[in-house]
Amino acid sequence: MTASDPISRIGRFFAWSAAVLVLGPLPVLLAVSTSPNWQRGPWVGGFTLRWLIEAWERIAPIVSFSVQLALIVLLIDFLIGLPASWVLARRNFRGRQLLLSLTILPVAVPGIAVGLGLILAYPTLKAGGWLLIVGHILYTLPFVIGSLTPTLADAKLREQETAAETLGANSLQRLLFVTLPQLRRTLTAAAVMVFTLSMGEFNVSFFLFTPNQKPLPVELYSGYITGRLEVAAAATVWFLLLVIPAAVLIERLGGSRLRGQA
Amino acid sequence: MTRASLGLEEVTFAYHQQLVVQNITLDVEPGELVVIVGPSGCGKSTLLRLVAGLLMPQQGRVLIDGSDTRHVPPHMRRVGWVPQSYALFDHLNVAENILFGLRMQKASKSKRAARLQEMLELCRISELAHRSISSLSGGQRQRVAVARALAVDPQLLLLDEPLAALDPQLRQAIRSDLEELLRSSGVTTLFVTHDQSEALALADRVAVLRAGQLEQFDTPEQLWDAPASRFVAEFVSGAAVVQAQRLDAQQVEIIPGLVTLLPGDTASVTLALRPVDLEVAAHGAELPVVSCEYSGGIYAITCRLPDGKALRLYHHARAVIGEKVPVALKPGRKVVTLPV
Repeated sequence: MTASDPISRIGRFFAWSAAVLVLGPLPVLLAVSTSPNWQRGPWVGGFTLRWLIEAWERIAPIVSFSVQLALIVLLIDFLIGLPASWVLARRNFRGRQLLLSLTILPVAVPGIAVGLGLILAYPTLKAGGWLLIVGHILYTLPFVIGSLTPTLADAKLREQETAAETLGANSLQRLLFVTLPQLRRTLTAAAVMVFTLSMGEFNVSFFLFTPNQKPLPVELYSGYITGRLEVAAAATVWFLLLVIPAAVLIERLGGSRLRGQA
Repeated sequence: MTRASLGLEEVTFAYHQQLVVQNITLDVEPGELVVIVGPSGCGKSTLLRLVAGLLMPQQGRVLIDGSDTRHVPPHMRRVGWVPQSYALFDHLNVAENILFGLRMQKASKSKRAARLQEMLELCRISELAHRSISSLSGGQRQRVAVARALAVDPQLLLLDEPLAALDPQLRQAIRSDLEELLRSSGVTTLFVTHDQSEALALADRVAVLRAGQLEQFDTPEQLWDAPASRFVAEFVSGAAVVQAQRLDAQQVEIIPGLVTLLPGDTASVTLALRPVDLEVAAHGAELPVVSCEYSGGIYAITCRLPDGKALRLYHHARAVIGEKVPVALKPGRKVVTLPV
């Protein structure tokens, strides 16, 4: 297909439109957070870093909590997700398809419903912050299982493991020297995905947070409701600075994997 | 290099109640190169997996150097297995692939270095040692896979269609290289292929499999000259199997117009007409041509026999499809008779 054919031209137009639509809010957020008073217009009265500094002071402790939460969720996701994916990929048992569908279900259910369900089912766990962790795991675990299962089921990987076995590798050696190195890219992509999803998760968090354990997106929401628009925008800028590198990393890992398969 | 014998004793394996390998018995001598040949789905690769311990026979025994392997897991068998895909570890370079088995055995650094050098030289891939797997050609990958399997000094080497993934133009040259490498290593080898010409060219002995059963286990010459069954004759030499009728104590009529000397007293006899035994000659039986393919200096002609079967032969000139050609036995050729 040449660059000048009509289908390419239309495709390029929509691709750029989508990019503009997604990126559109970013310059506005930057303008709001660096203007002394957005109601009077952008940069009327000069350029200021005051809101960005104020926002950082306000969200710094919450960022730390959100990062800790995301890392705990990541660890538990991998502890559950690796063996679960292995069984789903390598064992044929009654109910396998049902189990596969169930692992995807939390993604399809609205976060509010998941949050509400957890509160109703385990009311005593909310105070300790455990429900928040469980809610994030329910939301992110399907992405771990969804990416690891097809990789573990891959015939090429299984044949490499068999070759390693005939070369004298026991099951632990096969896991350490063949399976995990071959999964490295998928594991990294899944880790970045879980981290960014947990950092940005709002719906489940909104129902399950406690005043001492407030994730960043909930704090951003509070900022918009109760505080100055400029501070809320500045806090959002900081949030994006945290998650955009992770999103770029996901794209790079995914992209190079696709190129490797071509 | 270790040279071990291999014995299969009435080995049977079923998958989902379907018999894949049935009652196979064969003995492979130390250092022998045995080719297992048969059409797709005949159980060749399954047989290799049974020898490697990747599958367990439901009946029968696999003996390596006389010892029953029933309780020996694959990683303890010292059996090198090279699948069709080669299964190279693409997160490691060539040298790291070759040393993988020795690393698992926790061999000393000096032993690993010496063995790497030995394998690189044996397989003539010294210049590839530090290359990534993705940068190698098909033939180079095959050599690395064989080097990796041989590096652990296996008792047996199992090669599952090692030439199938290569370009047809390269296959002939790489086959010769591979044979030279296997002969110089001296390892007892089972080599699986679906290509009968590959089997005849490489093997000390050939095991012909059909639907999980061993049809014949013999030298290439014996397979060619004394096929044990109709299937072996058709599969190995591309023969047309016909029922000839006895004319008298000395002669049989193969088809109307084609008579040969074959003393005996049975009323009919089963014959295998191999392409190399036939020629286009004026005194032959007139048969219609159904196809004519040029294969470099010679034409492969397929004719239709009166019973509808195809008969192949070679001729120096092109034949016209639809017209008849006179087909005769080459002078002095003895026709191959098949057991009843």
